[in-house]
Amino acid sequence: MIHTRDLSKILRIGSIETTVLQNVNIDIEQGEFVVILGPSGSGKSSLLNMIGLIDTPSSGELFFMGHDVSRLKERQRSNLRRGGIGYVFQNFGLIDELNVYENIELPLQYLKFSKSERQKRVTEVLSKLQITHIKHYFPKQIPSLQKQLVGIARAIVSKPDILLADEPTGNLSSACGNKVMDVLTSLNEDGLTTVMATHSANEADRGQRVIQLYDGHIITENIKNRL
Amino acid sequence: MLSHHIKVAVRSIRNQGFFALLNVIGLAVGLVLGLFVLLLVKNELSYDTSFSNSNRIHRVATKGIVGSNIINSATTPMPLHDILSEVEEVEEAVRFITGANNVVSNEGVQFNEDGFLFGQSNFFNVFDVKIIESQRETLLNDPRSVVITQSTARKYFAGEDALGQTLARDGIDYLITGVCEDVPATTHFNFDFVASLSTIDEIILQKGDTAYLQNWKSDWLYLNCYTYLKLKPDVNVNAFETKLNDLKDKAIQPIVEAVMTSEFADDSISLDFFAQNIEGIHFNSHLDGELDANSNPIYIKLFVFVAVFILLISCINFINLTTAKLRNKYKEVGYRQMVGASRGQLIAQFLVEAIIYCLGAMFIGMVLLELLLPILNSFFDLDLQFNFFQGWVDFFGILLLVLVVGFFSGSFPAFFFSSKKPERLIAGEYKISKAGFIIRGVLVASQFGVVMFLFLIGSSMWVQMSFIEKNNPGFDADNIIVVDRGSAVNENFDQFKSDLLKVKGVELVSACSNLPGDDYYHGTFRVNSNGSDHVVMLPMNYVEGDFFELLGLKLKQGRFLDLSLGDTLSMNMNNEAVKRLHISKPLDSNIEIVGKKGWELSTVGVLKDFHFEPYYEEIKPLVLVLLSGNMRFEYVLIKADNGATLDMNRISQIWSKYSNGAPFVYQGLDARIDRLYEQDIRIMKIMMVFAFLSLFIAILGVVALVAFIIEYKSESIAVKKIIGAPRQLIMRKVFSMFGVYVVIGVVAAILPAYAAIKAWGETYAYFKELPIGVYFLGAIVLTALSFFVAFLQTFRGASNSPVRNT
Repeated sequence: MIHTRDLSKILRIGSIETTVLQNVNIDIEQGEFVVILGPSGSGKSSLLNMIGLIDTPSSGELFFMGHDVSRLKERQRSNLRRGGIGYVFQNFGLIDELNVYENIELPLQYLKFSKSERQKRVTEVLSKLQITHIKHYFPKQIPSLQKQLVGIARAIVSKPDILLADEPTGNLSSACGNKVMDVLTSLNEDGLTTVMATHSANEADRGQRVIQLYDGHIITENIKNRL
Repeated sequence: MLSHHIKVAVRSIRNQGFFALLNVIGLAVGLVLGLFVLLLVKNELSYDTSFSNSNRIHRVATKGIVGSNIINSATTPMPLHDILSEVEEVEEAVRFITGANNVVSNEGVQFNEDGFLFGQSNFFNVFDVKIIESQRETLLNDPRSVVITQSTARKYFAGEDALGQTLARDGIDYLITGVCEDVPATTHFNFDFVASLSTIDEIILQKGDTAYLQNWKSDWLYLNCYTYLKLKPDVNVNAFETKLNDLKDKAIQPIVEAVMTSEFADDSISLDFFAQNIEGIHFNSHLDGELDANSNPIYIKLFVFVAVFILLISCINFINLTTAKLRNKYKEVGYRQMVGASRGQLIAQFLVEAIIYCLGAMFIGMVLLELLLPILNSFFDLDLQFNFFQGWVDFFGILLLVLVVGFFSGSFPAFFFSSKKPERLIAGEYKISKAGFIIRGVLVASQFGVVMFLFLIGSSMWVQMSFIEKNNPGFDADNIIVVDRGSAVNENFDQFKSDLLKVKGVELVSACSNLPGDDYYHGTFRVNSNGSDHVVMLPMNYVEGDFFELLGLKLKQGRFLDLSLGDTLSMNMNNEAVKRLHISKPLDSNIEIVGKKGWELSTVGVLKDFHFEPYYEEIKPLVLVLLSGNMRFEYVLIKADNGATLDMNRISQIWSKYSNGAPFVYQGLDARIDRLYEQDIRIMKIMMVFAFLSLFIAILGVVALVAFIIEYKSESIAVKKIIGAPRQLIMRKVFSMFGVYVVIGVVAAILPAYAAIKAWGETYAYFKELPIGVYFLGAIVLTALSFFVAFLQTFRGASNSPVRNT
């Protein structure tokens, strides 16, 4: 589903060049739960951004659903992203001016779904994540766990091909983090391809496969059932 | 999607609280000013557009030289009309004469009326004010016919049918043959009565001036009427003027030659006519004999400039205040991009939010304007109307204004943020370049520049008005009452005066034909200076003997005119006349009245110069002659003892006794003189109000910029605080980032303000320069004020707990 070949990312700030990723080769197949593990600055978020078509590589190739997307323009990447990729953010990324229902509905509005279809899908997702009772609340009125559940609901409402989660438990207590991980695992079990970046080995344990990054290099790649 | 954008915008505005309030108030104030100026300019530009085909209606005016005098007059000779009738380009031509202020009465109801015209029978063909009722088709064919306006009909007949009734004026009964709608206030001349021009013959006959009866309609050298014409469609006005002047030359040349031979000796006479479209008269025309005070284009330009600038700085504030909350905003944009928003959808979101702000501000602005307009009208002495839903043009105009302001205000955040990459926005990596700060600084500089500009203009106007009020005009206007239409007591003036002098507190009583601000009658004289004869036209004032003492005029040489010394053919002239006419020994010189061979006036005294015209005009030569016999005068002047309160009831009773029931209308001479400057006083007030409001907006601008700096630098401020930087250091840093722009803006405004003051000052012959200290004072006060506001805002920002921002 996603394949990278010698993927590299170099950041330039003035005359200083920093290699964020170097010659990364990964293959993510349909239905997998892949965890990218690494400490802060290891390049996991950069890799996630490229997989999520938010950023472009400096060199190498990136294939998304069989297409080479490494040199696409922002508009083309944006079209592929829209509806095809769901994102879960560390700090939830909710829009303060929209209530829970409207936040979840937002991607469907951008995709120009009909009102009835939007209503059907949002209701389904609310029910699935058991957050129907908070649908009229605004982000500032709900606790962090529920904010992240809303964030996940919004990411999956358009039925994306892949779900990307960048440190989804980073702003949560361990108990709440576990609950979020349960949800992500459950979604994966329902068939949703999931890629999660984290610095927590415990959370990485929830994935089927762990790719460990350090200083922009893949240092290990473990398949869970082999650990 | 639109409903989504609107919903988000409304909630975002609600969530922003104080900032949203600042934003809306700033915009509302800007829009109120913008709308007010729009009404003002619209009012000015709407003059004379109420007549059908107003673009084809022209006034014919006269320019030329008679002797050594330059003629630039709104009036023309009567026979011009006969030539116009022969010109094929002319569809219709009409002439009229204005009547003097006189009593009009109907069975005991009587008023002084100065809106009396004598017009040709086709008057209403050109000036097609709607005729509400009429007796016959040709309203003004017969002598003694009159058409009155609707409000005049109500005034005299209070609900009764005015048609067929009569009104008396100056011994003549006029039959009302029609009632027309009131003339719109936005017309360059006004009237309440239009009587038939043929009545003039009877008036002249009644006065027994048979010689004048022969000449008044045929004298080419007497500019005694106003001539208007409607040109046929697509006529080239320049070609028409050329043709008209060619025809005029043929008619006038023999007459000029005859007059030159008999009267003017070495001097020349040349007259030319030119056409002024009536739509431009109020705006541009400043000729002698204008029917009403016209506008000054410099004010309109100034207003438009100020309105555009105030709207602009309101929009700039909006941008600054919007982007001050940048950190939250750009993350939100990033998240929206990640969940699938296209650039167009993001742009739409920002623009909708900006337009909703504008609609809110416009709504508040319109309500404010509706509530404030009566006060503004009263304060500025205007008659502006605001009917949003009356005209589609107004409706769409305002809607367009909202959209333009909204688009302009929202376009920067809309196009700027939407172009950024989502990962950078979410990561908070977005940095504003140095140029970005400079642009914001320049915007604040321009705001303070506008405030300084308006402050200096307003101050200059105030200084000039104070100068006019305090400067000695050469006469004393205090404690003097002017009674209008003094001719009502003409016949028994001596007895009237004697009775008035018996009233407690009355010190002096006199009469005259002109007062400061009037169009003075110009007499034509032949003066001998430097050995040759010159024909000159000099302003004249006919005065009663006590006029000089009453006004406190001063002599330079000789004595005041005195009837008891037989001064019927004597005159006083002012010192300017002596200088301009190069008279070396004025008390030994006589000047001859042109057209009356052998009539000479001897000079018995030279007066020190006094401002008999407003300060707009240089002091001109003036001739004062005593009223004698039954000569008509316009004003009775009553001077009270210092500190005395006059018994106006008693004076009114005496007036009634001698005036044959004419209304007693009076006012203070000082108030009458103040009225000469009322337009400038009005503009000064408007400028001051504008300066104050733009200061308010500029202060908002400082709040916005400082908020922006603090928000943007919040992390670095927090870090500095943690490592022990004192609050003063942080505040100094913020000051250094905006203070320089305030100073630049204030200083940069000085030169354009000086140029504008100079241009305005040129409308005055006597102008008091703005003291240089005011420039410094303005710069210091504005800079200090901006620093004070910034101090309050920065103090709050620098006092925040660093934990919140790290």
